[in-house]
Amino acid sequence: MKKAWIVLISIFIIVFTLRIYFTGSTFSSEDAYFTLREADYVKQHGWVFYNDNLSYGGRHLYFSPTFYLILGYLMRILTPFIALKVLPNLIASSVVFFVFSLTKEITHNENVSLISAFASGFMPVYIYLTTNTLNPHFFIAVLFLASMNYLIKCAKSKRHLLKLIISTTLLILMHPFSFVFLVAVWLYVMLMKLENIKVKSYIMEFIIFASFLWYSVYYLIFHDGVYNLGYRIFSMGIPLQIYSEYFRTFTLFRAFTGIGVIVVVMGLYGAYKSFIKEEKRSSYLLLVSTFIVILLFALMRVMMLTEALAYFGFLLAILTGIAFDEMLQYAKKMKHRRTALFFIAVLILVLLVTSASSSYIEAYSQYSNRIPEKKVTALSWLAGFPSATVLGNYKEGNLITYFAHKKDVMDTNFGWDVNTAERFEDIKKIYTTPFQTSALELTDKYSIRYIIFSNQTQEMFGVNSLKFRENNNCFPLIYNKGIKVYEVRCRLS
Amino acid sequence: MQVKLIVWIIVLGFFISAGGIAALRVLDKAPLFVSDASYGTLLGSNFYERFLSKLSGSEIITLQALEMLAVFLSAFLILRKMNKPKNMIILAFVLLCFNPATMWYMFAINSELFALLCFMVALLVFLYNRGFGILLSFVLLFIQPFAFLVFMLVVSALTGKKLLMVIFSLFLVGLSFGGFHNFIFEFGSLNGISFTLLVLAVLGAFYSKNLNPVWYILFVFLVFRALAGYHLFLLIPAVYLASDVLYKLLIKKWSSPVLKKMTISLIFLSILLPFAVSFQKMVASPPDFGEVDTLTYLKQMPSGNVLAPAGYDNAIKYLAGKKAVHSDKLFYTRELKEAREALEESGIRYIWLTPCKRSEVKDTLGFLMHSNETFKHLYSRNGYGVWEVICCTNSR
Repeated sequence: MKKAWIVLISIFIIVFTLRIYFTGSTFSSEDAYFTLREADYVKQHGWVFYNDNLSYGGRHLYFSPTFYLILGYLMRILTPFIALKVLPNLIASSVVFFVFSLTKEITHNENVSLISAFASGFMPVYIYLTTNTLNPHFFIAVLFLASMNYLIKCAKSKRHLLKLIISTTLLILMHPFSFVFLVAVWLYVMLMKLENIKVKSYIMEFIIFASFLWYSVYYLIFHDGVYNLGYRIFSMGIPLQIYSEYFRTFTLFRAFTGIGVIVVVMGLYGAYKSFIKEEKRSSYLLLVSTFIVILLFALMRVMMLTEALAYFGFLLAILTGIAFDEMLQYAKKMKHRRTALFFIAVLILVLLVTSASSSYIEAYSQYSNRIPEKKVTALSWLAGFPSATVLGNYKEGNLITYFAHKKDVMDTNFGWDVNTAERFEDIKKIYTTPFQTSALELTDKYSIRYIIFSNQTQEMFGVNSLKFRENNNCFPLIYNKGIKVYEVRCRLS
Repeated sequence: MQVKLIVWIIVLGFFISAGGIAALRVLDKAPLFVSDASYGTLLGSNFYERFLSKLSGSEIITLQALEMLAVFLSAFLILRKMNKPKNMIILAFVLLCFNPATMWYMFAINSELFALLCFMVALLVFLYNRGFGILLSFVLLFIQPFAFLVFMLVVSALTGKKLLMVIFSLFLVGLSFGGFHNFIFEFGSLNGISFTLLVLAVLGAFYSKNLNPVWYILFVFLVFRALAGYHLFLLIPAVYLASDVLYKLLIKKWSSPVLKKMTISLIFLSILLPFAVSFQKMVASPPDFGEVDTLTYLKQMPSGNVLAPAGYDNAIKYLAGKKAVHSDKLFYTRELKEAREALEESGIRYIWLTPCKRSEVKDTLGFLMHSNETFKHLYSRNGYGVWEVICCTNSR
């Protein structure tokens, strides 16, 4: 086996070990529990459910079923630990192979490709997004990079066309996010035409095929949603209150550290170098069009900033490889060759150390922020009660539906059909109002039977207790083991 | 097989589908025509709309079926006159017939279809005899000035009268900004032109080598016009351009024959899917028997405004002879005093609710309506209901 491959497999194993080491008994993301509900359903019934009777008190969901079907069928044949913890981390770690291959395709230098692979595997924001979260992006990112990789290879040889078709078809079936890839590819074709670079006919044929495949698949899934909600179906429907809070806590420093300062700086240098070099222009155009499209979609609020950052990170990691390749070539021609090479070696070392340490901290923080056991116990205790609506903060919604099997008022499956902004305001009002009548008006509105009061809610709304509880007969405390559960026994009407 | 025969088989397929919709609507005891806009046409002002308002629903649908048939015939003759390849003509007919917009305009009472027919006939006559064509096109002026302008633009393009073209273009731009409505909302969902057809048409516009540049301008104008809600006129050039590009795709040799077969199948699937979806939606579209019945009942009641959900203004005006008022504040109030004040302020004497709105307001206005004497239930049918407001008689 070649030396580069041994190093690459070692990087893959280290990334995988880091990820698996920080997986807990519970997940760190509440969204994971929606995924689990769907996967459990697939395991039992063989297909996903679209009519969710519990989310937002009952609603119709619009999504592509492929991811949940894969997880559900894996759960049928494998143990939950392997299906939900080991396999997702194995797939997530495999980004290193595709980034290596992509960088190698552009630079023809295995050593710098290894640096890119390392930077992508240890990218803090990607670790944050996909470690212990069961976020579908662990799969999407791999397919996205694979499709980019085969597209660049196809520009040179038709040999990889079948692989390109398979990876893109899977990407399209997996998630509507594949639209980003398709738009980027169309933009790439346009930029190629502007640069007078010929696009191979089979690549054009592939793009036409992929575009119609995307349209047919998502027309089938979303046609009702498009009719009822218009183009807003493609937006996330995140309430402005949550979105502004997200922006408030999100700083440029966080963005830089999320990708890695050295990766950002070197990536930008790599972008500059690729732009002025004629022979790398074609591959560079694909990277640049992907960058533009992701930026545009993030600004349009069609994708979360964290997700956008992870994909920016991959692009910058590839460009970092290009930058190091350029620097090495330049250093070899310099008079003080040894000093230059020493400087590059130090730079690489800093990149490796900072990436590895930041991603370790990010993985550890994800592990520490996993759903607390006491919350799981409280919600599982609620499962024994008859069917009802349970109030929690919006992040607890998916936990309520999964562990307590009860209806929630709001969860993170945002959408335009459920008036998320109004629900968010109402939930906030219930937790913060000092007036019992205001609280009862809203508990009546959503037919709430139980109210959960957790530390997370305290922090989110800045309250220590439910202030409106003048009369304990109306809101008796029925559970108090780290998490408080109140029962609503009165009705205003 | 002869091209003529295949085209008529496709047209027959269209009319069999239309018959299916009609039969299913009759079985559901719903009027044959769909959409509130149909009542808007019957309330319309031009001579053709006044003529339509004298006919019954079934007579109008029959008339529109005949108009559609005449449109198909004109389209066929125009394509033949332009010496288009037979496979392209067949593809054009597949695109024209299996399209939500075509089917929608047959079942929604409208003057668009007649205007389109006049446009097509005038164009056909123009291809044979220019003078007669222009003369005929003046009919369009009385039905739909927009269609006349489009026609004149085509004529000036064909005859190379650039000055005329610019003048008409300016007129069209002025008309096109009449009012935008959510175009994407309509993408093949119910009555919009399917996205696939539009994409193919745009591709066709860019790849057609012998196309007069004016066609591009025309196409852009029609897209603008479609944004303002007139899909039908966009359909004709879109079908022409799309069938052209689809024909080229079919005859072109691809690097991978398998990829070609898959892509062509996907294109046809994405053409037929919106048609199938709109078929299903058109069967269940309003109005239904309950709506017509409750509003006819309301017609015999003394005058007064009607509080109703949005989207039924024309039906209320045509069937009940009353003005519709919408107020979210009223629908979602829980305070009787507040409701009475708002009702008095808007001069509302009747409340008319659809089944959907009834369930939506059951805890707010619906609750108030059932629990006190301010509201008197008058009539209900199929979930539609009429109530009278009896609180504010003095002030009225």
